[in-house]
Amino acid sequence: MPILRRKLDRPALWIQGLARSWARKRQGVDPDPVILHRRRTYILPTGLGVGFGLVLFAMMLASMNYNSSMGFGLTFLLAGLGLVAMHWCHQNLAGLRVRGFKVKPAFAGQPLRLELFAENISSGARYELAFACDNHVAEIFDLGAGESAAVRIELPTRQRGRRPIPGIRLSTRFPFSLFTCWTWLHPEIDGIVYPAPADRGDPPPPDSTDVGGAQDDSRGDDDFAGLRAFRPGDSPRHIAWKTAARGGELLTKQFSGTDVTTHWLEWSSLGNPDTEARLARLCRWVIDAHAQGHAFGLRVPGSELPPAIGRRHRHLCLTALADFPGNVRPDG
Amino acid sequence: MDNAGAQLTRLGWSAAAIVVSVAPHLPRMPVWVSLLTIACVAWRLAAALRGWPSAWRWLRMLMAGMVFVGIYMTYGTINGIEAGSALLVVMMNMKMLETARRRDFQVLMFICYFLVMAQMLFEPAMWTLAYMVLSVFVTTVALLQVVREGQPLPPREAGRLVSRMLIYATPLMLALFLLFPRIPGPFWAMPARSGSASSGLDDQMSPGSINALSLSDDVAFRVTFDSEAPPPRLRYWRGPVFHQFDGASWREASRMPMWRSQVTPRGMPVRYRITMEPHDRPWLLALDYPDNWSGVRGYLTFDYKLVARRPVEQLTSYEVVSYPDAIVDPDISEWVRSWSLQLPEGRNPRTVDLAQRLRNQYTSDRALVSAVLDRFNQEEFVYTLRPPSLIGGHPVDEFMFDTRRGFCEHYASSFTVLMRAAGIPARVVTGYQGGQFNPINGQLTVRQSDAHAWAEIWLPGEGWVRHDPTAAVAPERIERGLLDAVPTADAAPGLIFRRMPILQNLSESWDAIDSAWNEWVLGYGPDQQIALLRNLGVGNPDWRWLVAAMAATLAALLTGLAGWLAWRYQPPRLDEVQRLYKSFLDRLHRSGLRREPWEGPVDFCHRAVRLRPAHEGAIRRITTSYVHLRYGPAHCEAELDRMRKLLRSFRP
Repeated sequence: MPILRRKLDRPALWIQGLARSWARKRQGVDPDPVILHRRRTYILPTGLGVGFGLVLFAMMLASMNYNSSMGFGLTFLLAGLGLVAMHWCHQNLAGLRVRGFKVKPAFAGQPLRLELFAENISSGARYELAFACDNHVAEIFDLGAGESAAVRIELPTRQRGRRPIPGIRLSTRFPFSLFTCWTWLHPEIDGIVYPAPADRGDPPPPDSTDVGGAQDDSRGDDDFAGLRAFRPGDSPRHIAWKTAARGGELLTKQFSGTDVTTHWLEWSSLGNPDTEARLARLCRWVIDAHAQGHAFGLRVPGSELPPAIGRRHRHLCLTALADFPGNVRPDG
Repeated sequence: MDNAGAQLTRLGWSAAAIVVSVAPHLPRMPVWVSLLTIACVAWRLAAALRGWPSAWRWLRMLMAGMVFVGIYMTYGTINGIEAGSALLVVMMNMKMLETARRRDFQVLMFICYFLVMAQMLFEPAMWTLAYMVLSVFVTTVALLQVVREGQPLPPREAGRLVSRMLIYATPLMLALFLLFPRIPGPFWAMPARSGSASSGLDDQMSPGSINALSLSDDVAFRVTFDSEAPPPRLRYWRGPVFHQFDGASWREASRMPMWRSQVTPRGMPVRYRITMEPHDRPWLLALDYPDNWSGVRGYLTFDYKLVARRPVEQLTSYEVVSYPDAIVDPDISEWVRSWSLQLPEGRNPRTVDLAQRLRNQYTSDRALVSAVLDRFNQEEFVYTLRPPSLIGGHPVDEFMFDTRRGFCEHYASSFTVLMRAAGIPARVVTGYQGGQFNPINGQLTVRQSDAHAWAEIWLPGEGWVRHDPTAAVAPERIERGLLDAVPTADAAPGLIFRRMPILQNLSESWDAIDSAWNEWVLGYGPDQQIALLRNLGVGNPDWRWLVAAMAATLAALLTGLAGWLAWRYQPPRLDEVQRLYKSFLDRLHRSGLRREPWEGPVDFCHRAVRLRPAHEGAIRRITTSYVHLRYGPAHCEAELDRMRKLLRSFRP
């Protein structure tokens, strides 16, 4: 049975893919707050809907056979209900606002987290909204009038690199699962999958190439030098929390050695011929250096990031590693 | 996601839907079906509450097999609405035992819809409309809950959603009902329904075998006269005609001659339209003697009864032209004469003897007939609906000479026997006599309790002549109806109620409504559809016009529905302050300055002032007003007025 299902599913997925790329061509890339216009919501009956149609057909045959007006009445009432359900299902999506598309980067092997907000800006409730991306479904939820909800979809990853977001499918089967109405969202985002970090060990070699300034031997984190105003990007461990707790402004402790503990993390310092292993090692170094609050620079063939600190810098470095060519197979 | 509470809610709604859709069927079904239904629903609910494991698979299979056999044994078939709906009910019970997945529940709800359908086919009375709405509502709420992903909706919200959908569905239903082309059925043979229709008429008659006539107050048919209605004493509605007598029972002629009769019109015609309730027999009632009829496929037999080609299983409406004064069969064939003189040997000797004595006394047939009628009139004969049983071998003798108490059947039967014994061809005619005019819609309502039996004799040169011996005994039965002919103690409760003036009014109104229901709803068919189109101004309507009209109406309704839904779902209206500020933002946007989503009004004001220094004053003042009005402690009309004025002249 599962084998049969898979076989049946595959052409369905293929057709779904075709429909999606057609929708993509038709609609183009979506702006960030996107309001679902009714022209971009599609609707088809479900299996249950087809079953309902057959039930109605059988009822109509019975009514005809017995020339029963009441039978016709019931059949047509149910048919009307089905038509109303179809419009309701369509309206359940039309006019919804989706914004804040974001993909949180992840290390290879960990799931990417696609995040967005669904906002019901209309005065009617919406039910059973299902977001899905690449067949990974978020939890189904309802939205009352004026409510909004944060949606998270986890996308499993295996390899480092850019992972394109093929399109987000928003669907609903409300009210009776007789019809399924859906739309494709194509935000301009993609996921970045960092290389999986190597195990701990092998600390970065001491800097061999010294750029712009002598190595300061007097560096040390406990060499307190004074306070300055907090600037975004400062490591949280250097914030003067005690001062902040007393109600003062946010200050950053400065250490005399901080600005000179500069590391260069270099591709060339690794002897391992395997590209992926080298990247994994560099990734580990970047993580550790950031965690320890060191300033560090990264030099890999093709790109060079000067030393800096902060989360953004860490992200840029890891992105450089993720984008390193030769993703498919290390040649050597 | 699927926790126990959600499952319990699903089960509860399904159980409610099942109870509502099964309930009207149960009185028709054997008791064990009711017990099984209760047991299955109760077991399933208890199992869900207590967390019992589901019944063993083989046990369920065994039970399913057993109930199938049970249905077959009870009905002898599994075809037809009766056995079919019983089968649906028991199979649904079996399904109920194993419902766990969403799909099982969906199947259950679809079966519920089917059962409601079966009820519609069984009993198309007006109250079933209310029942239909109720059961569709409950079943649809149940469907909404069982297919729902996640937690079930609160009952009130689900109920409100479904009732709104049903309201929206009603115009669609009406359009389809009126305009969907009706193809007259049936396509396949329908097994006859048993016991679902009652009739005061039968295809045989045994006077004295039952000792009380059950008087059903049900409507047999309704008549609308196009010409003037005949007086009560001429309202004889002809049904089965009996020729064969075995001494106790009368039957219709065993071999029906193949030829069809034709009435030679004479006198004034009576034109009328009959709407007949289903009675599962082929007889179509008509006034004596029908010459012309339309609206139904039927024929006139040699004894002038109008017979349909198929049993009347649905409400049937037909038009007839009758000639009460027509002379039928001035000459009769030899074998009709022999049938009409047939008497069993050696039965009812005293009656035969009496007839021969009268024959010797009166030479003319007419004198003989009036002598017999006089006898009924003057001797101690009593008209009663509760006569003593006639249990001996000579029931006519017993009635004529011993009991002398009876109703129409007794009198018609003994009169016919007397005539035959005297050598006059005679037969018993049954049907209805009388009827009651409803002053509200001017229709004549004939009920089952108006069933009657009379006699026809054949006289040379005059043909068949009707004689009603009951009229000789109880003339008021003929003139005013059964109500006045029987003592109160005899009458059925329904009859007594009809004597009370208030109730009579009520019952007349109800009857008029019921008749309108019959005519406009149950009787709605292809002819009425065409008539509707013609009223709408279509010159020469046919089914293509119907399809076009239906498509156009549906398209209009669905467009309206979509528009209405979109209107209901539009964003709530902004208040005036927000609207003014929005127009301020829109104007700046048109000039190329857009407020970013993360910018508050004050921040945006700073940026706008920097980029549009020419409008600094206006931008600042509008922003200040807005912030005051929107976030300030109190509403200030003067401030709002200032904002309005500022905006009027704001042209960035």
